[in-house]
Amino acid sequence: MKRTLLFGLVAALAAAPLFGQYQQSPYLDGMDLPPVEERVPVDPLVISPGTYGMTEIGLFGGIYASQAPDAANAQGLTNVAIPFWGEAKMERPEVLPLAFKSIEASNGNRVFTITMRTGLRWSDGEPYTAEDYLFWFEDVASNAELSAAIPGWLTQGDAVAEITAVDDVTLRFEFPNPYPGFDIAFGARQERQAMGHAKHYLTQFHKSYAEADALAAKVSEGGFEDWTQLFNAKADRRVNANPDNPTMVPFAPSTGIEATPVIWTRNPYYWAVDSEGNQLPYMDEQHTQIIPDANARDLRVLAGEISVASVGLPKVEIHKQAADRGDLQMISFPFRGDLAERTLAYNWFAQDEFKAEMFRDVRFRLAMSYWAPRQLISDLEFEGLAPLRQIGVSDPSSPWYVEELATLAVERDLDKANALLDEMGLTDKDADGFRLGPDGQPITLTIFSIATWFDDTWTLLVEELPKIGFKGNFRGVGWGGQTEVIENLDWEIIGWQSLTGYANRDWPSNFGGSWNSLYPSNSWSRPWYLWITSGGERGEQPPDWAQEMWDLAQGAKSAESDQELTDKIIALQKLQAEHLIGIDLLQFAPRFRVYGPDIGNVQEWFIQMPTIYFHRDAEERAKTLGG
Amino acid sequence: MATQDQPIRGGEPIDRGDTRGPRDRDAERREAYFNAGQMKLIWLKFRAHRWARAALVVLAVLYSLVPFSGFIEINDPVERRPDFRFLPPARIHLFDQEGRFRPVVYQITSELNWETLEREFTADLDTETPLRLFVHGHEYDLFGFIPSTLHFVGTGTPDVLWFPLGTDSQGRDLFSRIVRGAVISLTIGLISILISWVLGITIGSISGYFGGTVDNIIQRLIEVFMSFPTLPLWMALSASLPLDWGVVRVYFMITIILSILGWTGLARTVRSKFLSLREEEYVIAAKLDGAPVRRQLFRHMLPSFASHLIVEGSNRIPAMILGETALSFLGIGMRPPAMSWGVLIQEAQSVSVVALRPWLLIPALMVIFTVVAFQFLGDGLRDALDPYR
Repeated sequence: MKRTLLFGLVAALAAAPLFGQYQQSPYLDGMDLPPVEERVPVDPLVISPGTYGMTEIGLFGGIYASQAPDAANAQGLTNVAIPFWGEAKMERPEVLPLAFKSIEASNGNRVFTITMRTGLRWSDGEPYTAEDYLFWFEDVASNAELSAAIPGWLTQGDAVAEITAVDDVTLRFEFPNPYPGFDIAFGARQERQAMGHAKHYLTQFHKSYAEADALAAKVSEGGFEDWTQLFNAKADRRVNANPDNPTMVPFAPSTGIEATPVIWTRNPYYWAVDSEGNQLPYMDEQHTQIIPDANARDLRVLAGEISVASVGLPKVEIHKQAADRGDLQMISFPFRGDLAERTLAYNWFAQDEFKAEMFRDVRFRLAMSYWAPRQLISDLEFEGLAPLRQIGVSDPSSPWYVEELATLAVERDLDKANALLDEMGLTDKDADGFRLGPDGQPITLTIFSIATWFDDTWTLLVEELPKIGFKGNFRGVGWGGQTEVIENLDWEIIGWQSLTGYANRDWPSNFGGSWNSLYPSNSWSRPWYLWITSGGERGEQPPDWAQEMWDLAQGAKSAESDQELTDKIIALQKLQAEHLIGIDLLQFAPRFRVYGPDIGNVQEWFIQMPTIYFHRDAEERAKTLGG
Repeated sequence: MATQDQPIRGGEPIDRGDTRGPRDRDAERREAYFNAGQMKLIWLKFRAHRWARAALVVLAVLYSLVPFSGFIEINDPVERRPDFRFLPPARIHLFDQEGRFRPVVYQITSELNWETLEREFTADLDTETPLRLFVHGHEYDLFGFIPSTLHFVGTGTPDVLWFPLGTDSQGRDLFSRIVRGAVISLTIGLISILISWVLGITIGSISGYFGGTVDNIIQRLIEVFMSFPTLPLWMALSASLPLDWGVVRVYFMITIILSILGWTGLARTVRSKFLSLREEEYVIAAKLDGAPVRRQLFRHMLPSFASHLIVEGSNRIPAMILGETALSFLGIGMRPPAMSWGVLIQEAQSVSVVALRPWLLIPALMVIFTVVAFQFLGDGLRDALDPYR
């Protein structure tokens, strides 16, 4: 404690001669705030042109205009406060400091010392310290009532990281086994929760801290069923719209989610400045309109009313026209990483026993891969620019790339598909050539679609199924309606994106997490995950090869050399290909990003830093500054 | 008188062998009119309504699409063709390159230009192909069960494809999709209309004829049925019907279920009509004559406002087409891979379609066209069905 004080004093003295080195937005002038030098950390993140996607120093003022289909995604891009940025790519990335300053490994990659910035503050001015991080880890992430499980990147097999606060600005993470990829995992997971729980505010809603009577009164007053509901509503980490809840993100809640538009205002204590000393963000307010209709949202983007939006290939023409008219700015950016545009997963635990048995037969799954019209989908929806792929690593430049696994059964071969299905004994057919099930009826496979974004693909697949003797059916629910269906395993085949997620350096650290998730294309493995993590109490015992995959992923996390890591991941991929748990169809196609016509610092970077966007147009800036 | 010898209608030859004068013939015609049966009168009156006559022709053509849809289709409406995406309607060239009169078409292809990010269309002049009648093309089932490959019109070669109304985002032929979509859009509600029509007339007439307690019970029942909110019920049904049913079957079942709720409005009108009719002298006469209730209802009372009922029925058909379109547009009616006009319109509901590919809105024109035709037909029928008025 003493040391920190001393350090703080020294830092303050060091800063003193430079009084006036920082400028705040005129938006904050006249508000009852300490001087800007006292609000930003002693050692803030300094963004200069050429770093973090910045091309030039910006100007204060104006509104960051955004929109969202629903309240949960209202704040979007700006609801991010991450300690580090570890880019999701295959070669070892540089870990860039953001809210935290440095991460150092010791003791053979078993111990990590993380140094935060000195003088980080919540948006209400209270200091952000190691205590806040520990509050999240011990009382939120490790609390069984609040969280289903500790995030996979903080575990090694059964063991959980041991986290201690060395002092106010230093955290120590200890693992039993080496964890060479931890720094990337820490950065790339973008754990907004980790920096989204202000201990000084939230303890009053937490069972372990609050007085039982007072807490019960708050629960019943708010109309909640129990304290966890109250806590989650107040912490509001997904939406970040509770004006009383302090945050670390650039824009702090102002109006609450019910307002139209929902408004966030600049966080006066934000921890980043530009190289000329202007406290970021450049823009003063964020306004979000919640618009469920996709076309209405498109129209606003086309009119240049939205600060930044992402555009896929099918819509590129009309946005290009708008860009040519000068209504917006448009850039393409290279997609890095290893994501799949379309994926099929089968429900191994389907309620129909015949189908569950069929899905568990690897010949069926292989036949589906031979059947899938990958090239046709790529041609129809991605101008042929989405390469055909299989699950696993599909980037040839990756050290983990194994050609025969990456190209296994990606070329369409209906004869092989039919032969495999015949071999399974599905040979009884009706007059129209449909394979008959045990009840003497044609077998119907139902593809379950979430939301409507990819329906063109799924209807195509439904129409193609008769080519291997199945009737196809299509069933869709709106976005948000899928959770119940997935939890109840009430589906047969699910269509979504990316079965195995980012196959990047950080992949093994999240492997367990993805097995657990309700993420549509991973949900089939949940019963296995439950069985493994509960020591066999819940869920269903995975087959030996699945257990082996799990163990390989855990081992890969601790791999001490690049060679060991590569060996483990290739072994894992071989198992994955051999059993073809699901199929990825296409690699990601190029994407486009559009900006409002006067937005500066447009970024061709894969990640976005909304804090450095600014309005070139003086009228736009005057919207929040008056005059 | 000289005028008497002149033909009544210009150009009508006068048969000199006929001893009767024109005045007699005129009288005969009038007599024929007065002696004509009811059906004949209806037809005569209907024929006089020019718009209704035109509407009848239009509807006859549209409904003939239903059994002959495969024959009329030019290309396979479900086949996706990546090279032919978003093609605008292709015009027919009446003269070929040598200037001879011969309707020809050229193959048009589309490609996204990566420099400009615009889609470019090129017509290949080497692909000049005459349009021919009765050509062989994709397979279909005539009347739903006779396999055939014969089509009304086309290029007759798979090397040159002609898309008269252009193609959609998946390179599917819009004309053929409209033809195929007509089958579902024009017919799927007919059964349900019939059910609610019959239910409405039967229950309404019973309620009106007997009155009293029977009437009271039926009216309260109608009120209960009327208070069912249709749209939420529709959404609930579309979610709860069995998983392995196809979209068309689910939709059909929903229309049936809703028809069981949908008779109430008609029943109310029939009842009020009957309440006044049963005091009419001819009805009382029939009653005193000892005619059984069924005869009184369906022989004496019902025909007196048959016109209203028929018009009511014919007006329900456009309502059903609009209903299908609206529900499919909202995403709770028909969905792909089912093909209906509503589905086609739904597929066209994006900003880029309106701005860049307006031809994909043609299915909406078809709906308007059909509904207007039904309105004219209903108008003509109402005039014709009361020929004595």
